[in-house]
Amino acid sequence: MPFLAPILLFGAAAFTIPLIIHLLNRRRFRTVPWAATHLLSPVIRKNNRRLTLEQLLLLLVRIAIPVLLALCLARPVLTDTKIFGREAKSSKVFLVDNSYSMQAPNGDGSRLDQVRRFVSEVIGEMRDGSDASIVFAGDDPFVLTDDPTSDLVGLMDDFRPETRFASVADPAAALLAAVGEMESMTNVAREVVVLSDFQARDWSAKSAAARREALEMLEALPVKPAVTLVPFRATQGVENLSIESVETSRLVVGVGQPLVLRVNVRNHGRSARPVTDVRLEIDGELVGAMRIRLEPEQAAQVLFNAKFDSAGDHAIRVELGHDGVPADNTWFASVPVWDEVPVLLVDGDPSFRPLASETDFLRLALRPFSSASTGLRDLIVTETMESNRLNARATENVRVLILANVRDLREDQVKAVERFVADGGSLIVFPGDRTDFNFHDQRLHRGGEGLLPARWESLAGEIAGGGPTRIRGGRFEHPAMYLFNDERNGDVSKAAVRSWARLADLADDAGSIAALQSGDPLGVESRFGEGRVLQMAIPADADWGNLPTRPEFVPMMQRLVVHLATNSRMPRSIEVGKPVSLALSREAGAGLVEVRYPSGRTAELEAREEAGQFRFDFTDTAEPGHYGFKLPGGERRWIAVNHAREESDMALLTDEQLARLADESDASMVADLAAYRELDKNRRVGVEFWKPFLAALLGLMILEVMLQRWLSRRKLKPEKRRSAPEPQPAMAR
Amino acid sequence: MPLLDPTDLARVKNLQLFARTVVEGFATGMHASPHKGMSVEFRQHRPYVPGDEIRHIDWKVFGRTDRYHIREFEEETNLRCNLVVDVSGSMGYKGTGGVEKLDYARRTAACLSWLMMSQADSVGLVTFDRKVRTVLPPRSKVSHLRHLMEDLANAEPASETDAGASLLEITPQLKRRGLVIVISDCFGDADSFLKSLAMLKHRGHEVIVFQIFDRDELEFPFKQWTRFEGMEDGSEHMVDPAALRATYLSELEKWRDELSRGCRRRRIDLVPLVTDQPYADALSRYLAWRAR
Repeated sequence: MPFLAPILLFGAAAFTIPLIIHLLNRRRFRTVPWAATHLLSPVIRKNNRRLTLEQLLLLLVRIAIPVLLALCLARPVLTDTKIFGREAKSSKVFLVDNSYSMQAPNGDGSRLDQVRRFVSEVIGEMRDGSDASIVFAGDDPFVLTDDPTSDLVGLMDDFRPETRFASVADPAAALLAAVGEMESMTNVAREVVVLSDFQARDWSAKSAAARREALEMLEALPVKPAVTLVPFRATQGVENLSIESVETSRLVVGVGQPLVLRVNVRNHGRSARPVTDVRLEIDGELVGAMRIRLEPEQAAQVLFNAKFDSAGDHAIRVELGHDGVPADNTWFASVPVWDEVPVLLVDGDPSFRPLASETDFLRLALRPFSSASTGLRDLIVTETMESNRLNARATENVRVLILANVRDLREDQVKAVERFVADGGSLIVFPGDRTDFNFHDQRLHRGGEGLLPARWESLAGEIAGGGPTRIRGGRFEHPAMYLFNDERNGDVSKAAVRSWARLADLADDAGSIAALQSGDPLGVESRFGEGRVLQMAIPADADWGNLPTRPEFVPMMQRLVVHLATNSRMPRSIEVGKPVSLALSREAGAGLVEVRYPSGRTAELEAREEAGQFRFDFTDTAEPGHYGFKLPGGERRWIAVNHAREESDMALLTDEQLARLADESDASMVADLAAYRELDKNRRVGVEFWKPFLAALLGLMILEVMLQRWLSRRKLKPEKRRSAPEPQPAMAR
Repeated sequence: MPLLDPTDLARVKNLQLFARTVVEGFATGMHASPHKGMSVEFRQHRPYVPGDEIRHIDWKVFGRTDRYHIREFEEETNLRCNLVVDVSGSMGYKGTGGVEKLDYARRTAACLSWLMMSQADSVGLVTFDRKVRTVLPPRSKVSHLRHLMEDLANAEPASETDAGASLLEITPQLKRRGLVIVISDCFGDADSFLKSLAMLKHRGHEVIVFQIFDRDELEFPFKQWTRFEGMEDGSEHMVDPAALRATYLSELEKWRDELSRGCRRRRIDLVPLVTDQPYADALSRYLAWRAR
């Protein structure tokens, strides 16, 4: 027998109280040496059975009282009765699929419009005293009201027609939310009504395990709710075009540099689409438009060139012509445009001779246009200084700091570098013949607590009497090395590495940028505070190998520096519902951040301080579009929020799949409201069954009182009659 | 604390305990003796037979009848009283009243001894439990009282009781008729006890039974769960006494009725004494009643 409030069954444990009192009474006895056993023994012999039975009966009654009380309060339910049927008060959770596929037209209005009308009708027919809740199944499923409510009119008012669409539906998570709602519902007749288009992607077999787990939890509820599936799929196979993604040719764009935008468009439909416009808007202005024609299930790429004449974040919007599902017709992007990427090169082995200084090859690689005097502008700007001049002021406005063959640092320099990285700067450390590895290990690695992600273990290769090695070719996983996955961009594996430093005790989050054929990493990268540190195994000059003299060195260093300069920052494009987390500079950290929503609404929110770092976390990204953030220092950032594109394929579960889903879920399936009404009318529901227990409880309480009085009377009555009997002499006369 | 309390003695000193029947004493006393002898109370004449002392011939009768007659007188003798005190384990009960039953019995016996000896009667002491423990023959000398007190004081409650058997064991030892005062709680088989008393009675003894009770035994006032440990048989009973009280009291009443009826039928005084009442009061009340 299930219970509505099973937790209160624990109250039945109160039966132990009379039992304990009884046992304690028996344990707390007194011992009396007794003379008149010839009188007492027969009395006990004769009455022992009766007394034991009386006490047992009284004890049982007293034990039964808390047990019955707990049973009453736990609200037992008699399941599968048809006593009240549709007239019974009910509790319903409407699990509404609000993924953007529900935007698709479905006769009169969208699928979601029809869901709303269905819910409105059902709620309108629920009996007074019923309660209901609406769970939206999209993205991170959420419940419309804080708790299930019996204010059904108010609930429908909250279910507004302009409900926001989500990227994807997560039925398993929504079912779990429904379990939570069901737990706090009060009526016995319970039902979870699933209202969805049952898109194949959302309800695929891949998510079946998670759904089954949620359904098992639903079944494990004290009163198992009925589950009803209501598909809204009047129009099978809606034609849909979508922008799958927009890619940019550069991680960071400099002012005036060309940027290529690749717009990936797909026709998810089963028929060819007529000519469709693809429009590009930058900062709200239309800067380009193209027309394409897509065959069924065909993907295409549209290229746009753009240039930016000012530094800062620029909002990009790419839009397709209108179709039945507008949510995936727009792509939002944000491109950071920088004036320059300032890099500070700290040279541990300076020289006036050409290419003899430790940082000469680096400077050439990072500023190729300026070095060749081509007249073109380099994005990266370098400044070189000797290690003894390094201080906190020197790192101001620097995005990447490079320590090349630096022997050691003063304590203040170590602190300045640590603070620079912790605040979001990036650091590259190159070893060399002057490097004091002991100092690096003790002060910069500090047993894993310091800046360096690894300990310098030993030198290897020719310098240690061994042979040379090379960079291991094949596929590179590090973003800065992707370029070399295409052989046309150069082959770094041809570079000879004659000597290198072995790295050991890598930090947990350390990742290798590439490996040497010896098995040692070429360099490892890890996070330190808000910034990142790349520890290389080879020097920046050509003393230990010929990589700096090879052409691959230029793009490799360029991409490593740009990767480090950008990667420690928040990505400019995220999916709907994902959080935004911005690191703020220490100077501008304290204060309010002005947030501008895609709808134009603004809000001011406070940045938080955590372990000396200022961060701004923002989670209200349910709306696709550009979110503008005006940081306390005046800096403006645009974060683009897009729907994930999984829902763009409008394929629905077939009828067989849907029937199987209903079968697996032990659910009923109805096609429309009329069928639902018929099902609801004939449904077998549960009935609360606490009244008989209450009657039994009252009966037992009366019985207990009567028993006690009866037994007390039997004890006390003779006492009154025979109180202090005075023995009389029996005289012989 | 001495067994004889002057205050208690003062309360009974003006009372006397007479035997209602003739008793066979060994000295001149206040009680009628079955033996004829020298005394002031003439009883009868009988013909002279050879062997009679010549000084007992009534010469006046010889002058009238010319035959020898011996003049016989009623002999008055002292009372031989045996105090038979129960020292079984059950007499060791000490209830909420705070007086042990045996102690109460000792004092009662001591008081009676003093009273009897003060009226020149001889007093003996027999203690018993399952069988006879000590026997102190009756004497009337003052120094005997000290021995009697010592024996009483040394008596300790022990062992089971079998009053019936013990009294049967004593009976043959009491050669001369006298007063037998049994001081006991009389716990045990009432029938056997009454038969023993009847045997004493049959042998010509006058029997008085002082039955010692503790108030607890009469009222069974226990309320909480109690483990009753038998003082004689070692039995143990864990019971809710309140639930048993009525039945216990009913059983007690039946048992006491049986004893009372038996005693009354055999013309034996059964005098209940409760340890929460001063024994001197109870004794003086009884003696005063008996003197009427």
